[in-house]
Amino acid sequence: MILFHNVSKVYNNGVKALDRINLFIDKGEFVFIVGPSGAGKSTIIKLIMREEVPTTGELIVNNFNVEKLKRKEIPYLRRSMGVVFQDFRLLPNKNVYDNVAFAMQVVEASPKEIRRQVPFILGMVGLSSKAKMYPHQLSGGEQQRVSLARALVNNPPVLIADEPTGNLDPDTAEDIIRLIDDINKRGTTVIMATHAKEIVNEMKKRVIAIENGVIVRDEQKGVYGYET
Amino acid sequence: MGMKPRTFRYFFVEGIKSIWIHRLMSLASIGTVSACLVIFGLFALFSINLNYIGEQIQSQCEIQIFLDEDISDKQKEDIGRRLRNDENVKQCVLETREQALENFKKQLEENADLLDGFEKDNPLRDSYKITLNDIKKSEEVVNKIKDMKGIAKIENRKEIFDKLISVTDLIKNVSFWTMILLAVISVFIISNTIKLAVFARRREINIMKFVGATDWFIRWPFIIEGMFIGLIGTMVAFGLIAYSYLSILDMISHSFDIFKLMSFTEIYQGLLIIFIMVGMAIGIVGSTISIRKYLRV
Repeated sequence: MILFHNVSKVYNNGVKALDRINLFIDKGEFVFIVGPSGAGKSTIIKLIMREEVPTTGELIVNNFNVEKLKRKEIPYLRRSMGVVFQDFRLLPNKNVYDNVAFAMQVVEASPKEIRRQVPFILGMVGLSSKAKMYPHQLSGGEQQRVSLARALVNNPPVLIADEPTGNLDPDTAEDIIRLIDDINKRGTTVIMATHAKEIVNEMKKRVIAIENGVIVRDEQKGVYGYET
Repeated sequence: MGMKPRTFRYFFVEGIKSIWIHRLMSLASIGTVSACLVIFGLFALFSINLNYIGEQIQSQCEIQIFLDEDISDKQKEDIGRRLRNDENVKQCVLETREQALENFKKQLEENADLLDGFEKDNPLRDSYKITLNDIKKSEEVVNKIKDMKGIAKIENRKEIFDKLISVTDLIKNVSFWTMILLAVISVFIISNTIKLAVFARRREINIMKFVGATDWFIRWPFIIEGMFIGLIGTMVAFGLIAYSYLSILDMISHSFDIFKLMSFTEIYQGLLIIFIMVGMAIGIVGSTISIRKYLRV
């Protein structure tokens, strides 16, 4: 569950990225965040991850009061969500298996749990046969699957995806979206910032449009609504 | 930061792996640590030996107290007791006028016959020869006894002592401040080297942060890595120092023997312990300082 209440964000350089945003995302929802570049999509994601702190207002993410969070509590907020990025952000020195296992080592899972959970999740994203390969040996789509596996391996209630298909060709992008949709159907809340018009229009999910730091549209079964 | 043993094993493995994965950077850091420790070690050995030589010079410097010819045995004993009981006096020897004449003859060598007539009418005096624990205290010692009855003259080679003291003090001061300066420079160079290493891995740290790693979870492998780099650097530096010091000792023992240098066996343990502590501390402090910036995400 995510709740923005009158949240504003002004960066140190004076740029006002968000202006009194009110937003509620319930458990199990699938939400697209759309809007032109620089409209504030990334800021919303960064606030949810507590990479940035709201300048004013209240932000609750998975029962954490984000704007009041102490520094040493931040890791625990982040463990309640999985994150995937446009650029995959895999560790180049670790193979596929270790990249995923790494997220479990961070939360001090037992080796037994790791040995059970990692192959399971790799199977789910269809990469069982590539567990021993390194990121540079994989295609973009495969790398994003690894990144998804890493995001999901600890069963977080929320999946955050920041332009997950931005670096992928349309067919591969569609595969990834289908995978994310499956994950959502199993109960994980999905929040995805995207520029992928076709995908948004096809999926018919909740669409939140942001322009100049303000929510201009919030509709169920919405469409992308911008010319690309 | 309650830590499970398997987590600690993970840190250990990650720290050591990372030395190998970033081996070029590790090599640079090890080289810097070694270079700093070698210079540091050379200065340390230099000042240790300067002290040692100073002690040797001091033990050779003496004050001579000449006694009146008509001094009574009791007065002579009083002076002797007073000198022996003085905490600053290391050694006190009575030289009788007969011994003094003998010594004088020995110094004159082949011209000793010049003194032939003096046996019957010895013009020399009895004297106490004393050496001190600390030559700086010579004046204090002299002041305590100079008014005692029976003392004719005190020969305190003060000017020579003073010069010696000021020279050794100057050298000690210079080497002390040079070592401090070197330590500061080393920390600066090393933290910069590690900063480069960490900069190359800021992505990795960033990834660790967003999968929910705590600061200590991120820090430990770096600390262990820094510790090992420091330790390897220490070993290299110690080897170089040991080799060069033994070579110097070997060279010097053939050329002069007025002053001795400390033997290596006397100093290597202390030196090794200091090296290991300094080396590991540099590594640990260096990596802790350098990753701090990247943890603020």
